[in-house]
Order: sequence, then structure tokens, then C-alpha cells
Amino acid sequence: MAETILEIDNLSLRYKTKKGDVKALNRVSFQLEKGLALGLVGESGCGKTTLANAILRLLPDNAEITGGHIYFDKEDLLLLAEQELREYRWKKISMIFQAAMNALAPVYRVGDQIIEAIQNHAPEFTYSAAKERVQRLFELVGLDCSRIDHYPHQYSGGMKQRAIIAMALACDPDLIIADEPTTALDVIVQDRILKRLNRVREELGMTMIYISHDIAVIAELSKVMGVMYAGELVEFGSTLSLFKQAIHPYTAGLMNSFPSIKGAKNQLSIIPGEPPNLLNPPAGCKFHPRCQYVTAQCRQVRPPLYRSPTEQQHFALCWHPLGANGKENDHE
Amino acid sequence: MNEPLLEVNGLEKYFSIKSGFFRRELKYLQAVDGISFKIKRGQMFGLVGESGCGKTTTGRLLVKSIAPTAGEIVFNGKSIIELDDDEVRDFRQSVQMIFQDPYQSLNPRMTIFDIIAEPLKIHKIGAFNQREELVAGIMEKVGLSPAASFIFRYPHELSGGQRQRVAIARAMVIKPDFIVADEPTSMLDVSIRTQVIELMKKLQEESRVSYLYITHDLAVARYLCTEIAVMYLGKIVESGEIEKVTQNPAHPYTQALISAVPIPDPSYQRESIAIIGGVSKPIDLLPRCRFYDRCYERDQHCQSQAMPDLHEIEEQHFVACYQR
Repeated sequence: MAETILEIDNLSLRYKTKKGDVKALNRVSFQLEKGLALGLVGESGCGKTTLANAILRLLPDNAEITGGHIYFDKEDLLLLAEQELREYRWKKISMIFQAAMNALAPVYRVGDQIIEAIQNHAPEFTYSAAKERVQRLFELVGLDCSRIDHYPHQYSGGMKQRAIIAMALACDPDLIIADEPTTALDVIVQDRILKRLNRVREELGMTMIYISHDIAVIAELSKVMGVMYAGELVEFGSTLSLFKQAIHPYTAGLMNSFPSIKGAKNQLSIIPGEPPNLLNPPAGCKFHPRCQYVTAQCRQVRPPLYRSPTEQQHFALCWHPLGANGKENDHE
Repeated sequence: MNEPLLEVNGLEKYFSIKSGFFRRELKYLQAVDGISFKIKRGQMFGLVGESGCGKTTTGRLLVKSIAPTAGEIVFNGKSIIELDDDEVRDFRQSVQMIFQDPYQSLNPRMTIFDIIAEPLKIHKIGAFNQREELVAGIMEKVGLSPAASFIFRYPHELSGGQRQRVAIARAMVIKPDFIVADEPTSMLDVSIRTQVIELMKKLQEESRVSYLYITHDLAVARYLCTEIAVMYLGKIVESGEIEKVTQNPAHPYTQALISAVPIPDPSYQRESIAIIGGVSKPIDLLPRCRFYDRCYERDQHCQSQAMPDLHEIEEQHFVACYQR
């Protein structure tokens, strides 16, 4: 059994708004082994970005963690003071944000911006040592070193994203959280960046959390995956196991929602309805208003954790797990 | 029946841009640079390519929202370039457009009823109470039901998926022959996207309306369309029957593009073709193959010759490449 680097234990979080509390995360629990890539999928507003931001406590003022623990290397990050947490940000855990390429300051050279980040978090680096480090990082992410002295407007979208990745790698973190890092990019550029990111991760033996709405990207990149719905982690396990035998009806529906460029042309399955408003989420199983297997139990009581008979780490929150008791699985 | 609904010949659209010292230098951006294709009646025709390849400009040209620099668009046997006022009105009644962003394409001050009924008013179809019936009918069809609970609402009260259904209803209500759909699902969430894809498929099969479906998502194009054209820097580099183009791509660009699409199957080992560089802007182009700079199969011939024309390499499969 490999070492667990990150453990989220019963994490709940809400955003206070004028209209009431938005229950953005509800009792999310999982463990991530060191060196693995975890893919988190879900639709907008399901809480995947909130979960990522909660790990580094990069949350807006109206957010309140109402319960649970976040253990990183056995240290509970939620017990750390803001000043102590700063030691973790960037050095041990770094983040690549959604559309981060627009975050580069237009009036500074790209290289200088990365040097500044390095020196901010590791003051022992001199300017020239930091610059050397930037050169190595540029090579790592596949950017030409002559580009260090260029300004962001001289970069294409894909190159900016690479620079952001270089910045995230700058302090040699143990965990990288990448939140939709390629969403705004064209498919060829996306492919190149993801390949590069994955290779760097393997070379440096880093752990990674990869957040995406695209199940195809997750399928290719991550060894383990989690599916989020309405603030809950509804299914978690190895990617192979989830694709082979999804337990939660939402996961199964999601997998059949993506057409593929290869293989047989299967009819897509429709998940009826829309995700719930988290100001007033449904009782019981959050997915019950859209689920075809719904029973009275689902409407009232939060489902228990069901573990896959074939893989212990694979679990889902469901009263009527697919594949159990000889039940037909739509996905197969 | 085999006669095409729409035929495009040598269509060009150049945008003039000023650059250089004091912006005195006049250059042209060759957004669409001599493309030709045909769309049959009742067909879902896919136009794919990366950002900036000219696919949206092509869509706008086809609905006569901008005028072409050169070339010919024949719709229902008639050139649409020079129409008189009456004919333009007829044309606008038979051609509709669905846009990418349902948050921007609906007038926020109009109710859902007014939005969907607007084309009926403009084209003077039906008396007022008949319009109500027509609108309610189309709303049920696109899944905005019960219609009564939606008609007096405003766009901001609707979700993204519902708004796109409104946009589809507005396009369908006057029973057009041809719809240009420009990335209609790319702003939507996964489960909603599938609903809208299936809705468009169902409506298309029922009404036999022709579609130009513009998208960057090749997997969706494969799912919906029967024929496809791949654009690169203002040119069509490959076109033909959907399975032939997507399963057996011939042009080096199409091959690279398709090989870069992730597959939703963790056991599939995808090999992608690495191509150098990125898409440039179609300005100051040399008179040769648009893909030359990035091509991994180029040779002397490609360097010296003009842009190759599309030629048939097998039945219903065309490619513009000297190596094929």
C-alpha cells in the first residue's frame, strides 16, 4: 500500500449569500496515494473547483468550512493558521487555475514573473539562480528558452498556458491541482499540453489533481477518478473500474453522454432535468429527481457508501448501485 | 430530390485590416479563401476546424449576414448574392441561425413568447391568436413544457439549456429550410449538452430541415452529421462522407486533428501525431498549401506549387493535398 499524500475527510463547506446558504460541499471523503493522478469530473457548480480551492483555503470571504478535515502529509491543513498555510502554497501544493493564461501581467516579461514567484516563496534563490531554474522549467514544459525575455502578448494561448504550468512547477511541489487547464484551447494544443503535463508529472513523481468537465480527458490522464454531483462526491475509484462498471447512475449516464471519434457510434443517453440549485438541494440523494431508479428511500435518506465487490477503493453513494444484485448496467 | 439545397462555389471573404506605421498599410485577412461545397436537402452538414479557421465567417456568409468578397452561393436554385428586397425577405424566412452563446443571443427585455414569436411577426405569419398556438406548439417540441409556464418569463429566469432551447424554437418556428448552427452546444454543461444534441437530431429527422453544423468538436460532428468539411486557414482541406473522413482521414492536418481528440475509454492507447507550431493568421499568405509550414509530409513539390484543389480519392471523400 502506497503512502497517502492527501486525505479529505467528511469535508463540508457552504457559501453564505443574501438568498441563503449554498451548500457547495457535503461530506466529501477520499484518499489520494502519492504519485497518482486523480481526475475530478462534474458539471458546473458541482463543487469541484470549490474542493480544489478549499485544499489551499483560497476561498472567498463568504465561504465557511462547516466540518471535516483536510490532511496533507498527515497534517490537518484546516488547523493551520493563514501564515503557516503560506508555507504550503506553491512550495508543497501549487495550482493551475482555469484560464490562468489570462493571469500573466501584460507589462512584465514572462520569465521575470516566474522569477518573482520563485523568490517570493524561496527567498534563498538569487536572481541568477532563479533564472537558471526558469530555464530548466521552460525546457521541461517545452518552451523555447529565448522566450524567457518575451512579454505575454508575444505568446500564443498554448504558450501562455505552458508558462503557467512552468510557474506552478517552480518550487517543486508535491501536489499540483490543475483546474480545467486546457478548457479554452484548441484540440491540438490541448493534446500537446496535457501530454507534456503528464510526462512532467511522471518524471518528477508528483501527485496531481486534475479537474475537468470532459470525461475523455480524465479517462486518458488519470489513474483514479472522482465524480462530483451537487456538492457530493458520488463515486470514486480507479478509472478503469469506473469505466468498466460504474456504480452510480449519474456516472453511468455521464459516460454515455460523450460521443467518441473512434469505435462504434452508440446512441447517447440523456440524463433528464438539470442539476439542482444548491441553495435548496433535494433531500436524500441529490440525484434522485433525475434518476430512473428512484424509490421512496432515495427521496428521504442520504444514500450509504457502497463499495464495489471487485475493487475495495471503488465506492459510490447510492441506494441502488448498478451492477449489484445482478442489476442491469446501462453502460455495458 | 438529389438536387442540393445549397451550393457554394469559390466563396471568398477578405477583411481589410490596417497595420504598420500610423496604420497606413492596408492588408487583407483571408478569412474564407475560395471554398466550395454542397448541402443536400434534409442533411446535417458539419463544418469543423480550430479557432480562426473561418468556419464562423462561412456560416455568416451563408445566412447573408455579411457579403462575400467573391464567389457564389446558390440557395434553392437561386443565387443569393443579388436578390431584390422581396427575394431577400423570402430568403430570410427560409434560413435561420442558432448562436453559440444563449446568454447573449436572446434579448433580455423580451419575454420568451415575444422572442419566439418575433420571426412570425416579421414575416407576417398567422394572426395574433394563431401565433400563440404556433409558439406553444414549437415550445412543447423543443422541451419547454408546459409552454404556459415559460411564455411570460424573461431569459434571465432560464438556465443555459433552456435558453438554447428557446433559440432553437425561435429558429424553427417559421419552418425554415436551412439552419446554420454555430457551436450551439459548446457553452452548455455535459448533461444539458447531450439533451440539446439529441433535441437537434430529433427535430432534424422530423422536419427534414438542412443544417450547417459548425463545431470544433469532432466527436459531436461525427455523432450528428452525415457529411463533413474540415477547414484550415480559410480553405477546406478535406471533405466527404462522415465516417470516411473521421475514420480514415487523408489530409495530414485532419490526421493530426483527429489523432488529438481524447477518447472516453481508459483502456484505449491513443497515438497522436505531433505537428509543429500553431495556427497563424491568414494574412500575407504565400501562394502554396496553407498547411505547408506545419506539414510532416511536405516536399519540394508542395513548396513550389499553388494551394492544391480538392480531388476525390475514393467515392465521397475529397482531399486537398499533393501527397494523396
